[in-house]
Amino acid sequence: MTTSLSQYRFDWVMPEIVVCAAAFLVLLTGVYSRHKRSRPIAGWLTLGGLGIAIAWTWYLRGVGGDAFFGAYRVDAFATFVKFAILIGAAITTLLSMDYWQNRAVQAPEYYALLLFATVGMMLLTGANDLMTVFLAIEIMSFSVYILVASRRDDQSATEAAMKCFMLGAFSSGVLVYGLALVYGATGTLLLKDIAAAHAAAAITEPLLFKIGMGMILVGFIFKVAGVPFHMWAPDVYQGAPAPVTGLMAVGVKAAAFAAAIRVFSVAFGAQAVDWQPVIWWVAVLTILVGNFLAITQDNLKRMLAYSSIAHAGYLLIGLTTGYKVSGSAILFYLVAYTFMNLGAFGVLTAVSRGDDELENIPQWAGIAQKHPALAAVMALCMFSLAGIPPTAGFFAKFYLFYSAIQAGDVLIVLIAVLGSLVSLYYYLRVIVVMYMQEPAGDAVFGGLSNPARVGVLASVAGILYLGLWPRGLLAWAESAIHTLF
Amino acid sequence: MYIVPWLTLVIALPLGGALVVALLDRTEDKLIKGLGVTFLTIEFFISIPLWTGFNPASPALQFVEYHPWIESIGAHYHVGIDGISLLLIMLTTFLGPVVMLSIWNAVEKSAKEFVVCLLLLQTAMIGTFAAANLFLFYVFWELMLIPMYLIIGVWGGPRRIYATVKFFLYTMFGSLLMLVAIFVVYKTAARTFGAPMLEIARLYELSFDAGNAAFLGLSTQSLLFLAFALAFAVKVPMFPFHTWLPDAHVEAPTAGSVILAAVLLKMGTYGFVRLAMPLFPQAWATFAPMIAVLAVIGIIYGALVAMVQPDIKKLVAYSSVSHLGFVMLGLVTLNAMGVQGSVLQMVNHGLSTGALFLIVGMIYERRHTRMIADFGGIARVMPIFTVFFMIVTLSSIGLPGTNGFIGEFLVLLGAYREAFARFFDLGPAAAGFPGGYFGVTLVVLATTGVIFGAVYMLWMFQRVMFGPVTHEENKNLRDLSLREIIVLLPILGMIFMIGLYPTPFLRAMETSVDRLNQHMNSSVAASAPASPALHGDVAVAALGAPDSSLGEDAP
Repeated sequence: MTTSLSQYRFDWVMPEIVVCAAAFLVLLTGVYSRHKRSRPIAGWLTLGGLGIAIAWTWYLRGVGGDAFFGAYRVDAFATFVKFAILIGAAITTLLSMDYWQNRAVQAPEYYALLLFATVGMMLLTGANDLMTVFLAIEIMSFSVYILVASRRDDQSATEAAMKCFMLGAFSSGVLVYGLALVYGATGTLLLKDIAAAHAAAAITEPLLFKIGMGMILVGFIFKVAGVPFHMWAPDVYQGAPAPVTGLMAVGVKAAAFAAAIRVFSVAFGAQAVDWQPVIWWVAVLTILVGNFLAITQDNLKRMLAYSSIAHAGYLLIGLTTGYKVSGSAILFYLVAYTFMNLGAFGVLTAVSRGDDELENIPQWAGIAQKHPALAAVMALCMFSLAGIPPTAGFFAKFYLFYSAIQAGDVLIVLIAVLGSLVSLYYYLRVIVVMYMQEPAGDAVFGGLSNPARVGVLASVAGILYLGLWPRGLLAWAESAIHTLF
Repeated sequence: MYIVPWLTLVIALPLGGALVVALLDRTEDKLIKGLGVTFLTIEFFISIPLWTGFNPASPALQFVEYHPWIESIGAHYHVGIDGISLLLIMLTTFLGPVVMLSIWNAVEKSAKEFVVCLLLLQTAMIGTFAAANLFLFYVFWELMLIPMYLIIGVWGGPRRIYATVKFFLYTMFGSLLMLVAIFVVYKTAARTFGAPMLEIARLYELSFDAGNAAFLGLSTQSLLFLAFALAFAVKVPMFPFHTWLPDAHVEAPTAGSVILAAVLLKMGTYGFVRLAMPLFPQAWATFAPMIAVLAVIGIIYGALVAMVQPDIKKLVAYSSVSHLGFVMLGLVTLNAMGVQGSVLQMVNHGLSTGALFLIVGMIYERRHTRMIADFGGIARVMPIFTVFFMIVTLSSIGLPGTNGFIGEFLVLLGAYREAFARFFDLGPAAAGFPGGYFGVTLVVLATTGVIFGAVYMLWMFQRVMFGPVTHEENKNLRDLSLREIIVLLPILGMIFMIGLYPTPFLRAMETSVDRLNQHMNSSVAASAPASPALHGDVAVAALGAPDSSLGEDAP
């Protein structure tokens, strides 16, 4: 049997290819241009690549099917998440340009890695066999490890990168072990065939299969920083440069959730009774631990790390209750979360100068008086993260919790709602400090440079638009989730 | 449909004003405040067509506007008013310019943000009163919190941060539990109507048929009612959920206190009237005795605590707890007199307590103290002020001829009618009103609250205004300026207008109140024989029954 090139469906993965090509191009600028001249070029090239990828993804939004003989799948679900990831990456790039300009460094390899991480995330959304899942996770993770360490001379960044790498490698090990066991039990790596093997009762080693499934679950919980595998997140979030932290909080999380939904609904859908209770408990613990530990944090990035753990907990609720109802809620939530989190990290990027990232909350005292616009954006993001209307965060939570109620799970919604109540305390604290305290002293705040301004404004627009007119995205998310079945 | 969308205009104008003000230069202090006053004055004038165009004979929602918003979950921009919301919207738009004018000298620090907050608050409050869709209601309800939180926290007194965080967390605790209850109602509604449904008026139908499994049974209703009631009880505030109120009031700037007392507290009682009661009539009947008891405790406790306050503002704050107790008691009666009195009392409390806070603010601006002991003999120094203060005090006490009398009198009359219904053969008592000697005792106790009210107000007035001038600083206090007189005069006018000729106000809400009472009493009667016992296990089963599981969804 001969296979022609067209059967691989390279045309469906053009966005990924474009991002890849942009990454190489960015690397080349580092080689061929003098160090100083390359400064703006790398960032703009990255943006250009992402822009083309966004346009191409939009162009491909209607098509879909199995590519590469089933190893990769392009469907509305993957396209939806890719959009979220690409937009998140574009905003991150804008913020990064600001961040590195203020430190008089513009390393092309930073942008190249950012693009490679984006490719990994995109591949993860469409990964349709276990090997692709693993490869995509590794492409994403390795790029992120290096990005975390991109402030080379900073001790805490290096420490964070080391921690991120060690624990990430450990979780990858667990994941790959799980993949191997599942492969051993079913003899296939394709998600569909795993489900088929189960349906045909062709699994010879059910125990191995279940252990493998459990290990894959652990791997994913690691990546989304769910309790009890959340320990790495606060340190890493704190040590990484602000834009990278933003990317980790939104892009990595979106990609990991997309992959988890696909793997667990397509391959392990029939075993829902086994893994749903596990995720239920993980979700509850994640919500409680994330919210309660966030209260005591004085460091804004650490606080946002715990808050992102808590949000992972809310998202996990969606996984416990059946995808047809809550899959679209998860998708909507991921997009809303992208905007509100990147808005917050955008402000954080904007105010930080030099070594001091001004990440201690008390340092923010009274900035509303000097920088009303920055404070207003931060306040909006905090209200959105807390889930107060009319922001995207409110509607996302409303819809997610509602989908859980529809599935009949009132208890977890009560827990999540009480978790949200706790979260109000630490989100409000930022607003209290910014608006209600007198300026403490010598903290010098920078303004926003133009690229970062665009990034932050895009986030604000996203928060308000999705809060007031969620209809369009919601309909899209609903139709996207149906392509999984 | 109306040619001019008055209701939307009234909701949107302050929002537009807030955007305009937000674009101005923050140093243009007078221009910003002037614009704020202008916007809210226009706002009041464009709300007048709501009053004149309202047909009091019709029980239907009026000035209805309906625009699809998020169809897939049944959330729509659907606004409309009945007599009860009309009165409260008029109260809000009426007080708007007054409050805005009162900040003229009081707010120096970042006046622009303050004006923006007040304008946003106005939109959110009116939106809450006008919402006919539960989702829209919740959005406006929550939206209200943000500006108020900032007003207390940024422009408040020394303990403002503690006060504002407490205010926010208390309110949100109730609201979030209500949100969970809304989800359950929503799920039931979706099953009953076969489509996502959040229209408040349609949701009332859920309670009717207790026998049908798709409808809300008593045990489910009770849990849901408690969740809604908690959200509203915190806001009212009912004893024992009132502890945030004195803190918030004392720390808030004058304008914040006025809005908080005059309108925000009404959100709680309005929530009972619009949602908690008609959505869950049988549950209301079950819990009504408890609410009556809490209301009476609130009346007496608020009055007693007010009596011993050394701080005028705190005294007024506790008097709110007492006055709102009357409002809640009126709601429990479920007869025309009691509920009309209750709604009127909401308006009255807004006017008189709002005016009291304005007066406290005026005197605070002069002396920078609110302690009763720091005053004395003010009547000799500030004669015009004394006249205003006296009238407002008497209105708060409920002297015949002022608005306070009509409200309290009707509430007590309604309560006595229910309490004595079975002794004097007055026909069936209202659903859930505590019967027998217990009910009589409650009503008698509530009546003593009127006396206590006179005691603490008059005693305070005497200590502040009469006697010799004991403090040197008080000898040269300026009397009210023209601006301050303009601030107080309209409120005084309304105090007498309602006091002397309440008919138009009562007529406006008559039909709506009748409809509520009828809905409540007939739903409870329809579900008889009502067993007041709670079956918690049934409720949990009803809530927890999964109707879809992942096993079925998966391929």
